Amino acid sequence: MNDSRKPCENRLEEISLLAAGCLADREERELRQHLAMCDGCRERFDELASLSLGLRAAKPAVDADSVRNLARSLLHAPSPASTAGQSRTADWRVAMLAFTVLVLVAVMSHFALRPTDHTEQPEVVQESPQVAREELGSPLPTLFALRRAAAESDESFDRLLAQYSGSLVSEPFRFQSISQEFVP
Amino acid sequence: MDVSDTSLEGELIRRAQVGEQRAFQQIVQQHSEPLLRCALTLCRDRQLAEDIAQETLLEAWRSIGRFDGRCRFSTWLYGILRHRFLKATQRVARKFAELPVEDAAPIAAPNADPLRESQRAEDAARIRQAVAALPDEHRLVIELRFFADATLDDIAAALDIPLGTVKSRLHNGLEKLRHQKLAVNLFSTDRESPTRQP
Repeated sequence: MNDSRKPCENRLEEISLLAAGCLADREERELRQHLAMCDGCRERFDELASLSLGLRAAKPAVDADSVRNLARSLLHAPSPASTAGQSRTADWRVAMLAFTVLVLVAVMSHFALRPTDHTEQPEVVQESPQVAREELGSPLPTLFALRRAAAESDESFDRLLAQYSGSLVSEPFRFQSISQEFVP
Repeated sequence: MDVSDTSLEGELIRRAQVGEQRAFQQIVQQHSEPLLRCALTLCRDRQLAEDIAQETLLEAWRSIGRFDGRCRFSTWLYGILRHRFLKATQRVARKFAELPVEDAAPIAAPNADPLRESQRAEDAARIRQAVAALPDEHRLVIELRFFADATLDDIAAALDIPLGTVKSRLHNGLEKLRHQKLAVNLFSTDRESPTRQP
């Protein structure tokens, strides 16, 4: 409580809110009890209450036709229930389309990836190590080529080994020639 | 029928949510004017304010099914209004003109004393000018509270600021206006402050 004409510092915001009509019932009751005892706060409240009245009286006019037109504008708006129904229908259409596309892709990929002639397989396996061999310039088959040929069939693996047999046979000769250089 | 009654408004909202347009229109009749005032406060352009308010109500009608009652309907509406206002400002991309004071004159009471009404209109114009001269953060809160009758929650939703900030801005805005001694003569003919009485 403040006996002087100055309002209490800790009540200033509350007083403004009360003057603006924004205080909850319980807070308002509590503050009004304080105002009854504090001259400084009561004077400040009276000043702000008068200002609030002035502000409300200065409320700009709004064209009544504009307000009525706002409500009328809704007359032609589609119902949210019907738009929700439309969107549900649209969702179903999209889902059906997506399902059809998925089925088509699955069917097409099945036919596209399926080998049409089993006799072609050895040719592919036969070519692959050759390419690797040419590219690397290596006298030995690559590990990849060996694995692939082994996975295909025993025949493919034998064929691959036969391809590299010349290189494999030449290895001991090379070893001999190197060792011969160190023989005194 | 007074739609401001919470239970009645709740019932109307439920009916609107199942597509009853008449129920929504009843709610709208209650909120149209404050909404238009709020739009006017935000954009300060009558035509644009009407457009934004209309878009807000249409958007509210389209998405009424998503209103879950966790806040007041007006607060939800003011949130939509803020989004519409931001979209409109991006669309228009221009500085809003000041609202002419003579265009915003309050409506005179019927059978009022012309001299007294003239004085009142002058005072009101002076107050509006003082409010318009406030920094934007204070002006918006003051105008929304006193010109658009928005609650603190509505203002927080319309400006997307915390409730505590709304309170402090309202207090600071009122203090700024009080320092201008706006209220000293305003109602001296109507009533005397209790503290000034002998």
